[in-house]
Amino acid sequence: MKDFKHAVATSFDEAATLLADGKSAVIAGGTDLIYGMKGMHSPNLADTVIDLKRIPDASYIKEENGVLKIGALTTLTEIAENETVLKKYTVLAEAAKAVASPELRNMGTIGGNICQKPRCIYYRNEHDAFPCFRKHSDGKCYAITGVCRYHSVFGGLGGCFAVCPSDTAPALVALGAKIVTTKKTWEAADFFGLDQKKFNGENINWIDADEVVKEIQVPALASGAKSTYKKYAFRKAIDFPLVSAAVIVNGSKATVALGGVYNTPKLFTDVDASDAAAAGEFCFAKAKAMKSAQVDNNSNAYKIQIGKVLVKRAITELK
Amino acid sequence: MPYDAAKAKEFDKKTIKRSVVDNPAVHDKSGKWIMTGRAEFAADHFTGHKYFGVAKLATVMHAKIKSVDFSEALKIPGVIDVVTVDEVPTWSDHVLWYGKEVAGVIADNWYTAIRATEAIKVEYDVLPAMFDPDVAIAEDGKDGTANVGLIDGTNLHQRTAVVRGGGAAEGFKNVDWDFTFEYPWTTSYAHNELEAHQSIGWWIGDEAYLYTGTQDPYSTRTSVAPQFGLPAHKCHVYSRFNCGGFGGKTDDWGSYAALAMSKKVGGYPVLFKNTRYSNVLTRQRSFSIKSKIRLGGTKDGKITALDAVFYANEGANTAAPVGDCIFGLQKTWNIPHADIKCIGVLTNAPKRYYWRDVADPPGGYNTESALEKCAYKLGMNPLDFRLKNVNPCDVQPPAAEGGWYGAHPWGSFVIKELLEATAEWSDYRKKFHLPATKKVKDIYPNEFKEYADWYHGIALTAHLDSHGGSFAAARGGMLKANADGTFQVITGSARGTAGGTTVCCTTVAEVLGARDEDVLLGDWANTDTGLNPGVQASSSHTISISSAFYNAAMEMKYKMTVMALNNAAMKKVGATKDDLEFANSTVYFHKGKADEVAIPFASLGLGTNTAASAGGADGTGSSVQNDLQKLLGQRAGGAWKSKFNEKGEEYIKKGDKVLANGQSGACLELAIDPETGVTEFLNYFLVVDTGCTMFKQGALREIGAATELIHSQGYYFGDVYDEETGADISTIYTEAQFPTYMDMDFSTHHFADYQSEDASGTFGCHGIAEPSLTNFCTVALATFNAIGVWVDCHKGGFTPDRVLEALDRGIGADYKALMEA
Repeated sequence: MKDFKHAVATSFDEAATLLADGKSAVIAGGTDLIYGMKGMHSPNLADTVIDLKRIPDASYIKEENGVLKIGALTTLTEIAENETVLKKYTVLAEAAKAVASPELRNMGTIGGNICQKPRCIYYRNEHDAFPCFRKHSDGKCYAITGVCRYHSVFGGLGGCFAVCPSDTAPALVALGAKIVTTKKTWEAADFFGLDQKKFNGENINWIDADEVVKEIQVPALASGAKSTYKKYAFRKAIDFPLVSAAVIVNGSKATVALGGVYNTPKLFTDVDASDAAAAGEFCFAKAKAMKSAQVDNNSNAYKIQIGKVLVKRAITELK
Repeated sequence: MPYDAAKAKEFDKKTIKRSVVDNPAVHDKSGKWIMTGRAEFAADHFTGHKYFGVAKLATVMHAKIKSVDFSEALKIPGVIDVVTVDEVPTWSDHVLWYGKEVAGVIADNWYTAIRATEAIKVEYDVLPAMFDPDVAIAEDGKDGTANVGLIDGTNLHQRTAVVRGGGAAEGFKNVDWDFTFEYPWTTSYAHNELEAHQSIGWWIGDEAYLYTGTQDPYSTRTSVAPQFGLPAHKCHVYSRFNCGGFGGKTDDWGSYAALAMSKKVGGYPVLFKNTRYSNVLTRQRSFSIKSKIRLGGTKDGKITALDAVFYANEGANTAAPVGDCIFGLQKTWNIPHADIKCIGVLTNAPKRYYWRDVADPPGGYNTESALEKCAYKLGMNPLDFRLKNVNPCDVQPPAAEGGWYGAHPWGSFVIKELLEATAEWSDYRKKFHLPATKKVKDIYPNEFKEYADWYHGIALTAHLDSHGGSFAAARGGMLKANADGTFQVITGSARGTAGGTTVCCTTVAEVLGARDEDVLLGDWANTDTGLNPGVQASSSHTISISSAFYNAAMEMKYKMTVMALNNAAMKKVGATKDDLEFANSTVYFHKGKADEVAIPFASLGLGTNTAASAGGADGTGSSVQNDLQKLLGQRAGGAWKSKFNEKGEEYIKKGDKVLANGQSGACLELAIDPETGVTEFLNYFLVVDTGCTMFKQGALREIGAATELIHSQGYYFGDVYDEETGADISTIYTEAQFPTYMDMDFSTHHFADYQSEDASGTFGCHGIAEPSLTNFCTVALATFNAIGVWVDCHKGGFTPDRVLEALDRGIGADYKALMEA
């Protein structure tokens, strides 16, 4: 466990001010940050942890003018169980429910879920045993010369093959959500850097080091549109997505955002939903499996096949 | 199909006595304690002030330590002292695997100690490493870099060979068929407890004390005391619980460090505690196996010749019992001419040990897959093929074959019966089909609708485990009655106390009619007041010791009956022993409601002199009986025998030799989604021979827990190393992915016990051991039966990625190729 100081913020702006030293990190549910601190995963761990939990009125779910607004400190359980989200924004409720276990969903927040660190067996190795270049400027990607079973099938963004582990990220991207921070309002696609050509340090998003997520805003789905979230992981409980698909079908068109297959969610719009199987093929047309360099018979090709089936089954179910 | 209660009940009448599923009578004290956070592991108990010890681990596979710079670590406030590899037994300046201890820190806080290890700088003279076992085999005998560094001149550590009937060559001279099957290296699985290992050591004068997580305090004492130049009686070992895991608590890694560190600071208590990371790196895991199996036989399906070689990657462990790899193959199947070899391969990987039989679940799959393939090739039902070749009951092993277990008596051997019983319970014959020919809806038109179009697979195997029902000593202990009506269970076995108390205490409670909470743990498992229970042999031990306590409870009940009948109130109503009922910690007289008398146990006049012995029969001259006799001053004459089998027969006498091996039959039905490779269990039937175990609920609870753990752990995960560094990159620790019960639907698991007729274990109790281990291979065989392609266990379990990879060859492709070859 790394030594750290503890500070309490009473507002998001105060938290952002405290972050300005560049050596701090915010904590809400603590389900990812503390894990990294205990494991000494990175040389860049925070010296100060800023507690957001005492910020008042930061946990809510409400609809205003046809927009669903979710406070950053709202727990994943609250989102998964909210009647409005379940009924109108099903893909988000299902994605929230797909996260980890009930205990972790009770603690984990939506803000934290979209600000967690990348998922990679090398990046996450304790004591920084594999100094990859998400953490070290002179590092390398060990998945290329090692084991790539859990890694990207859409290439390595900036040379990194780690995947975005968030279940809610693809749902928010598919929904065209906005993310309100202390500095600006982001489109979800920009927030996660869908068009970026490089990665942003140890982050899965592109907010500044002194920027804090305050609220999620989700526009209402078009009339008649239906949505769902499909996830596959080796374990049935407490596991990150190896491949997931947030799917919205509106008439003959579908929006698909894939999770667990690339550094960011992989978004496909205006997908022809008339042929569900073809839609699955379309989404993975540019995917390419890796083959582990060190372990025989070990590749991530399965992600492509399972992903195609998830998309196909999601569209079939929604049509 | 969920558990078919009606069918099971019908079957109960024939052979199966009881199923544990849905049985509310099964209660588990240890589980309740663990779940409510009240369980105290060994190191939790020492609440006084203590220091904390942590080891710094190597980050190279093979090296000599050149220098260690402690200067920065010693500057950290709270650091008390440091230790070098020269100060801790078993530590060495010769690093043999990534994660080996290279230095240690003693601090006033565990986290301080961890941080201080980060500040230690170690310089290595890095040596060539041998991580790949195939390279270790190929390079064996070559000079210089070829050697792993453990034994001069070779990487092939042990060679165990069994030659039967003149050898394989003799047998293959006259066979109608001759098939050879080869299997690549299986994965290695962590045989890991859930609690990170921790030990507290301290010294009083020249005597050493240990609170530690061990299955066997006596063996810990035996191994630890000499390392510190102590006679055994000056090393005191206490243990409680088995650390929340399934076995794996038999080495004394933490004990050495705790005592050495305590010695360094003048005997002050030191808690040496692993982090989860170091726990994974440093704890033993199973061998990985590769094999070549050649079988030949006659047209009617009888195997007459076997030539098999197993390689076991034992990591950097020269003490690994690689001979166990061939145990199941050697002793389960009746093959007249055989050569069976097992060769240990040393590599610069963490130490590995066995998980019984062919070492680990996927290892067992090698043997069973070869048998299954033979059956298909010969056009036989795989069950019939096995029945044709399994050893008949009560066969003694050929004395000439020797081996670790060869010196022991054979014990009961009922694999044939278990095969038949499992087949009957599961309706195997009715459901069996050729590979890749049935969908779930074909077998279950009205059930499992969600899997209707998935492929249905079924397989049935049986397995003789290498665990004995009792090893070199009988299970022993004492049951004491207290004046307040409570009872204490006292035994020297960790399995006999908390964690394992479940069966002992519940047995006593049920026999006496005592409330659960009135049966107490008399003590921790320890080397001071407990009796040596002999080598602790996993769950086998639990069951046999609980049977011993059954006898003790019966003896206690007899004494209490006499006390009750001497009670004035009972005398007044003229009670006889037949009128008494023991329940709710009270003796009731029920002969007519109006005359009812109730005497709480606390009023019976029990006291500290009221004790009963829980001893076991054994044939090795165990001192347990004599110890008990001395302690209790009773039962002189050695009337050590059981009267309490279910038929009321006396069948074990003092001096009888006992060693009953665990054995089981398993049938698995599964469904496979051909699109995603996802597998779901439909039904898993496990029938375990428990011999004449009296407390069958306890036995079945152990069986159930073991099976679920093996399935959830073995099915999803295997160890994965970064081969360049030797670092473990398994998701078990990088992602905290220890599987849990939530990962599988255990309502599909059905357990039943089978009481063999020739029970020869302690009090007729067989070891249930680890019956689920090689029944893991039913997954492989049922998968093949479902989709007709072999899913390799190479480097992992039967996860969808591997199923999909196999399916790339096409549904039924391997079956077709097998039949055409």
